[in-house]
Amino acid sequence: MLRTSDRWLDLLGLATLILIVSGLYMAFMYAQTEVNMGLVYRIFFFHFGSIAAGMVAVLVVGIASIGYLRTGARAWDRVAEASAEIGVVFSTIGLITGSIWARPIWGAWWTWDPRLTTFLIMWLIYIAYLMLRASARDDPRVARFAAVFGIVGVINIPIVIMSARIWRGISPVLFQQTAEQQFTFGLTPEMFQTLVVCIVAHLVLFAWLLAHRTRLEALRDELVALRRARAR
Amino acid sequence: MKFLRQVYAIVQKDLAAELRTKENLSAMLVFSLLVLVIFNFAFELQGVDITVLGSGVLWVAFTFSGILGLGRSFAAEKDKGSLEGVLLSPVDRGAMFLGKAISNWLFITVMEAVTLPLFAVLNNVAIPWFPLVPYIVMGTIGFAAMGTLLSAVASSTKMREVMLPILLFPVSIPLLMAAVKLTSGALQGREFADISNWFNILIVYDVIFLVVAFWTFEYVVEE
Amino acid sequence: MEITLKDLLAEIRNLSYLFYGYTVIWVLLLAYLYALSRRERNLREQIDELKKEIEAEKK
Repeated sequence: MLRTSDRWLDLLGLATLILIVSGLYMAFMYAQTEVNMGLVYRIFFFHFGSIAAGMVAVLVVGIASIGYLRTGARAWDRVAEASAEIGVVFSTIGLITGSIWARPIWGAWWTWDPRLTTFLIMWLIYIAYLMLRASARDDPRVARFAAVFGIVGVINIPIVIMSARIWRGISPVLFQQTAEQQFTFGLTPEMFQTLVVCIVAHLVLFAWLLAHRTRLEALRDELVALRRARAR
Repeated sequence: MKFLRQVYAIVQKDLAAELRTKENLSAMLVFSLLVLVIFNFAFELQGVDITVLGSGVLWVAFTFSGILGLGRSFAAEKDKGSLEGVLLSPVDRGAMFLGKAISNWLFITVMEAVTLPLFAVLNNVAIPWFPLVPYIVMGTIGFAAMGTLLSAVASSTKMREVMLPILLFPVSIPLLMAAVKLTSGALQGREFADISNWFNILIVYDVIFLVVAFWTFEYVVEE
Repeated sequence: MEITLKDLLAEIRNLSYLFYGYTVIWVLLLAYLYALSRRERNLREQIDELKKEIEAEKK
């Protein structure tokens, strides 16, 4: 029953590969070197792609959690678990590459800038989410626990964003320009195109991983069902 | 009316159980006192401006000791099997949540009511009771609401003692930021207008998480 | 514009950060992909085995 979807998955995988390779090519060959930051700014394309995929993953966890509590359908739960795991992978990449980028540019691995603070707290929430899943794995109610925590987590994010901004003395309404943002506004057309391709590439990569990871849960269910059938 | 009577019954049951043994409250009180003492040595609070660092010390004491009480809130019932009894009875799940949250809030507030004067005495600070007490009470509402929900979740997992702080601390960071800022604002006697942003965050957090926890609690306790 | 030795050295150091950055990305992504495919293979093997056993029991 899983075979029919395999072809689409492989096509999606192929699309991911092409997009990632073209993103890489553009990031290194097509976009010109930025004047102020030098070569290191080329991390930025993939860094931003990972962050975007991480954010989308978090949203998907929230939506799937609400979907699960409303319908009780196992499919929502699978998507939520898969998305949280992949989201943590992307966010981890985003945090580390951001740090590596910040070291030569800002002269520090880390600053408590509102964006970074928010992202770190978000990352911690989803690490906690995965730990909750792991520690309640055998409990039949684990899906409900996870869905409740997923909803709490996603609702918390706007409040974290607001408070992180006020924490740094920034008005929560006005958009503040950090070094990173001034930089995005000063993009040349080539840089902008590269950025778009990289973000799209990461989102497609996320979709492909999500499909695979969700299918993994489906296989696990199949195994459990078979074991139960045999025990009977 | 029936709803309120159920809430009251749950609060009464928890208070009666606690008053019989006083295990929970005494553990929380000793713990918060220990936090105050340890911070004194860790930060050498003599000589520094206590109105700046003090709010952080206070809230670490409140949250760490509060989490002890929250952790016991469902664990004790799980061990005695009395939660099943409550769940079998026709008590509304929302009433059950509110009752639990109120009794948790009461325990934490009692602990804070003892910790705050001790903090004042140990560090020689004048406590501005009026704005400070409402801030602490409000901060505790959000913390108790979120803590009650997540304690119900954590108590069903394998590593319940460890799981509660791991779940509760990251989601209560905005609450903690607001409470600390408001507390130090009050200690320094700053104008309310300077810190009103934080007051709004605290209200938003309290309201949103009371509603969310109230709504989702039934999914956590249902078998 | 004149390029000094100092600029050049800064650029080389800059380049090493770029290298670390992309290394982290690939190592983490490939490690995750590898873990994913191994978990999937394991599950499929277990399922196939179980199916065979169930078939054998039927006979």
